[in-house]
Amino acid sequence: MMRLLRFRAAWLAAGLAVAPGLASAQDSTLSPSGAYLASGVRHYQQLEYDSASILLRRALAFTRTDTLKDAARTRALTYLGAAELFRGKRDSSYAVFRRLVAHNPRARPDPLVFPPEITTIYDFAREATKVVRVELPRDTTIRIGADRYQARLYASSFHQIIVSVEREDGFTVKTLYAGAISDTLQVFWSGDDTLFMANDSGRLVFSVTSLTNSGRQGRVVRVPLDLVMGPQDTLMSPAPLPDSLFLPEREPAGPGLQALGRGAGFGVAVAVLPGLVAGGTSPSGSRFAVAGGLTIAGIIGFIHHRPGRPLPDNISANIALRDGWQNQVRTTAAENVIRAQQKRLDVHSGLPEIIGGNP
Amino acid sequence: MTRRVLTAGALLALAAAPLAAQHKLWWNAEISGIGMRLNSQTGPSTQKWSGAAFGFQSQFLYLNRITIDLGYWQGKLNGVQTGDRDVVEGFAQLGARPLDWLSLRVGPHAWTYVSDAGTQRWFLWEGRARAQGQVLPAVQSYLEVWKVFSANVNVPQAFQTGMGGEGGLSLRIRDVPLIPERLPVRIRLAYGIERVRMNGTLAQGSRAEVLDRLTLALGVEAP
Repeated sequence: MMRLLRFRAAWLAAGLAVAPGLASAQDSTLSPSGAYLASGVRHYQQLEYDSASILLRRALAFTRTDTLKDAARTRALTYLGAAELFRGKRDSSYAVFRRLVAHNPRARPDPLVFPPEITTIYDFAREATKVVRVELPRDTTIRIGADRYQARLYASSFHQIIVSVEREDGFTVKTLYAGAISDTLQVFWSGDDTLFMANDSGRLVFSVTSLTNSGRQGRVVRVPLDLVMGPQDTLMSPAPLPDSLFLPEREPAGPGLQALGRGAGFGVAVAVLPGLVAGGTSPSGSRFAVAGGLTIAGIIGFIHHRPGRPLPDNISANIALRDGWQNQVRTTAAENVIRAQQKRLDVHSGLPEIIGGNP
Repeated sequence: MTRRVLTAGALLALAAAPLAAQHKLWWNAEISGIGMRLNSQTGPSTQKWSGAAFGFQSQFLYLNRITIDLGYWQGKLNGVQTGDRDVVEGFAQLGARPLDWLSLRVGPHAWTYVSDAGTQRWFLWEGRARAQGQVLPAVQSYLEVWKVFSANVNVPQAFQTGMGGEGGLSLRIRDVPLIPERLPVRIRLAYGIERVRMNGTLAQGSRAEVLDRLTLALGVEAP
């Protein structure tokens, strides 16, 4: 009997040693932890739950640079919880699913992949685990008095929370929210509480405390906020309009002379045309009618486009252009007055620290 | 030679055409009446006719650069101490518009005089240059000169030289009741003159035909 067990253990060990290598061979882009995860999932799918459990635990055990990413960790915990249940280890499965909930409160085993007994035990674990995931903008800037810093909270299940901004020593600067959370909650902070900061910079902690059903403190998520306060950036005053944008307000000499040339010039040409084309013959006098018409039109054209004549359309267009620019200058100046009275707060959020309530 | 000139002109016009400024097709069409005076001098003797012809003329402008001009007239010339003539005239010319104010075109220009003495046919290849411009917002003027490259005439003398010119002005009528906004009307008044000289032997004598004309036209054009 002992020999049989040793024989099985040797085969299992050999299989576990080879499995990541096989996975790596299949996809050389996978990291060792990723290879263990892929191998563990494959073993699970081939109903080899013992080996799947070992491989998935190895995948989760990697630390430092080879730690599984968020999505991969969620997948590994889901398959590990399922594998544990199918190995008959219900408590272990429950514990794994609580880890899953703590890691990612929004994760759910896919009901198309996992049977109802898995999703049921997961739901029990989720209900019993009161955790909140905090999502903050990594780097952002708010205008104090005008903008608000926004935090998004995701709860594993319905419970009571207290959201506050604290000093590093634990002193509560401001309580932002105290009440129930069921699924998602947005919390806003105006940033007014930073005006006391020396040297216009400092650190506060964004804290979310989950309470147990009995009302005691359960799990606390603390995210450090590095704050730098400064004056608001003012807007550049609009550049003066270049002369090239303005239309001429008085008629230049060109159009009038062109009209005169096209009229009177062509008129003269028509009058002398017979002499140029058919010298020596007596042309008809009708050419003078045309030449006269052209000359008169040319003179009228010259008067119409006489140099120095005001151009009302262009004057109106230029006035509109100047007015628009002056409006921009006024608007910018008014905005800058407002901005000068406002402070700007640069907020950098650090890595969250989780205290207590670890499942 | 003519074909080379046509090809070069078309290529030049298309190359010069900025794409953004190209309209697909612009056209105009007009009916016109022409008062004609014809002097035909053969040797020392001169014969004179005068009369009127009526017909139409049209221009198509493709991509703002390529032009096709067509025209046809017929009428009657009354002789002064000589017999009357019927006249039929037409032309078809292809051209280019390398600049907005300048058009160049070449093509045949033919006319026929029919009289009791027989039928005289004139068939000329001409090259024309036309400068045009706006004098007032609704008034345009133009001046056109042309040269006859070759002529085929059934008279005894041989073609020597030929040239002509025409100038005029046109008035576009818009914003007037009865005239649709999308189809403006244009009235054109023009004066033109051309002379063709033919060389003959001493017995035949040299010949010079001078035709001057006053044109009044009424047309419509694409907006």
